[in-house]
Amino acid sequence: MNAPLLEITNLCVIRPRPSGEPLRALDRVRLRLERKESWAVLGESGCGKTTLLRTIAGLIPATSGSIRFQGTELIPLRGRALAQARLGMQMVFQDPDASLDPRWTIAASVAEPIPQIRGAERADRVERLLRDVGLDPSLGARFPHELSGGQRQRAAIARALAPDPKLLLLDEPTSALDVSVRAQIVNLLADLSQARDLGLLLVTHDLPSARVLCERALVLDGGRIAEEAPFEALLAAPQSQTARRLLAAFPAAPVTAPKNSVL
Amino acid sequence: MSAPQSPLRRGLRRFVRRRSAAVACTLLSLLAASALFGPILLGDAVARQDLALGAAPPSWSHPFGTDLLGRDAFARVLDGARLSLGVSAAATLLSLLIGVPYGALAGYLGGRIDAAMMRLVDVLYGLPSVLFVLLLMAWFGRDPALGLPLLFVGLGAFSWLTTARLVRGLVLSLRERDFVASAQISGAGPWAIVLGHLIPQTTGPVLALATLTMPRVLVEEAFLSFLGLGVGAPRASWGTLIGYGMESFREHPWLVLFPGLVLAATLAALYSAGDALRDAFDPRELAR
Repeated sequence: MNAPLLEITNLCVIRPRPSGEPLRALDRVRLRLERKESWAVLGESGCGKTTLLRTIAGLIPATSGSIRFQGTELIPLRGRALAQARLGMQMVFQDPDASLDPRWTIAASVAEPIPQIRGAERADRVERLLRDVGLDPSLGARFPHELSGGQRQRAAIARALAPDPKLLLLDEPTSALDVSVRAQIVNLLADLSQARDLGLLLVTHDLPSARVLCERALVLDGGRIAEEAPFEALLAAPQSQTARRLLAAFPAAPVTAPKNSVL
Repeated sequence: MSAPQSPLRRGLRRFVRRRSAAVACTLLSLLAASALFGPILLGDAVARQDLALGAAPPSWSHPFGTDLLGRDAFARVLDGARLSLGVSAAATLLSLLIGVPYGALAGYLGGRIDAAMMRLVDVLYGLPSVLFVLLLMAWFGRDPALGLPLLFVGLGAFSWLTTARLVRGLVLSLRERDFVASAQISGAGPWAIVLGHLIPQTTGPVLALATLTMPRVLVEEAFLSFLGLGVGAPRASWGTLIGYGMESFREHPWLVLFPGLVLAATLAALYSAGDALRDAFDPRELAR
């Protein structure tokens, strides 16, 4: 199959506002993410980064445009058909404290996306997933509040990997974590995307992490694409005002440090 | 490392550690046990009349005294507990069975469905519920076979409204949480999310509300029975007993005093249990 993993054309999300003009949260956004490719979505707060990710995941309805995932158009789909088509993409949220149900054990949360697998096979699968993200399988019996922030985010990643997705949508997966834990999670994501041939779409403010994980970058400003470029090219010669402002906020680190020892 | 503990278990443990909750629960369990087993142990003492004795003040053989027909008031209060607690527990259960899924679904689906579902709740709220039950009982309640079920349906039909409102409010904020989004992305349907993720989060507040619903229904039932529109003779709930005692309150005050005291103690125990439950399941406490 030659279809790209994810192809977005002219995606618009327009929200009515009680007063004044409707808000164009996303305005004619386009993106073509090939298999195993990883993109960073950058921009200032409120530029539409998270909206883009949530719209792709089907959590926010698109006003117009097209989202094709593995060749299937997602926007007209509803209910079971949408759930089915979407299983190949999973999302990791910013705050693992909020994305894991506090009343479910870690094992139950990790197994939720694979209800069709039961019994011993399910337990095996959960154990393997926990090992894959560097967690001791005994932690599966625990509840989220009994784990540290980093362990919780690892559990959330294990959960996202459960249905064997082809694309991970990462919504600032390290910003709620300690700096020391941050590097471990970034390295884990880098290893997993290699080992599992994952495509990544990473929303972040954290340029050093994005540099480790992503080949290309999309810079958004006010819901529109300000710039799209290979990551290293963006760092070397940003074309847009927005990208220049973003880079200025991270003085030396991303440009001078060698690529693989960023954090 | 200690064994993992679910938030529910931690909340319950914190609940039973509180002294007021322990006292209230002991009292309520004693009442429930005596309501269940008391009449069996007492045998025919409930109905046995001693017209020669008539209304006698409390004594060793009749700790709560006897009524005008010489029946043992203690046995009557225990028998009344069966009816009063039974009706209020059943109506409270009905309020949970209807109110929790109704509110959760309205809150989760949102939009027009939510608006329509909650308008119905508003309309029912607007009706004077006691008047409705009064009319219902006045029309059909004379039939002894219908009396009890009607009382239970009449009281239950309104008590779920507050539960539905509470649960809807909680779900409205809960559905914005990331674990719900995460469940949606992983393919869970609306019922799986409502039953598996949303309703369990409302356990604490819903339990606390149930301990407030039960005394309210208890009082409503007592009020209706006091007016003679609740449980009919020969059965007697606490309300019936108090109403009956009021007829000769000046001469035989114990016939009002004892059922009144038991009713008051039960209400106090239920309210105190409710308070303790609310504190035990306070999310700020649970996070510790």
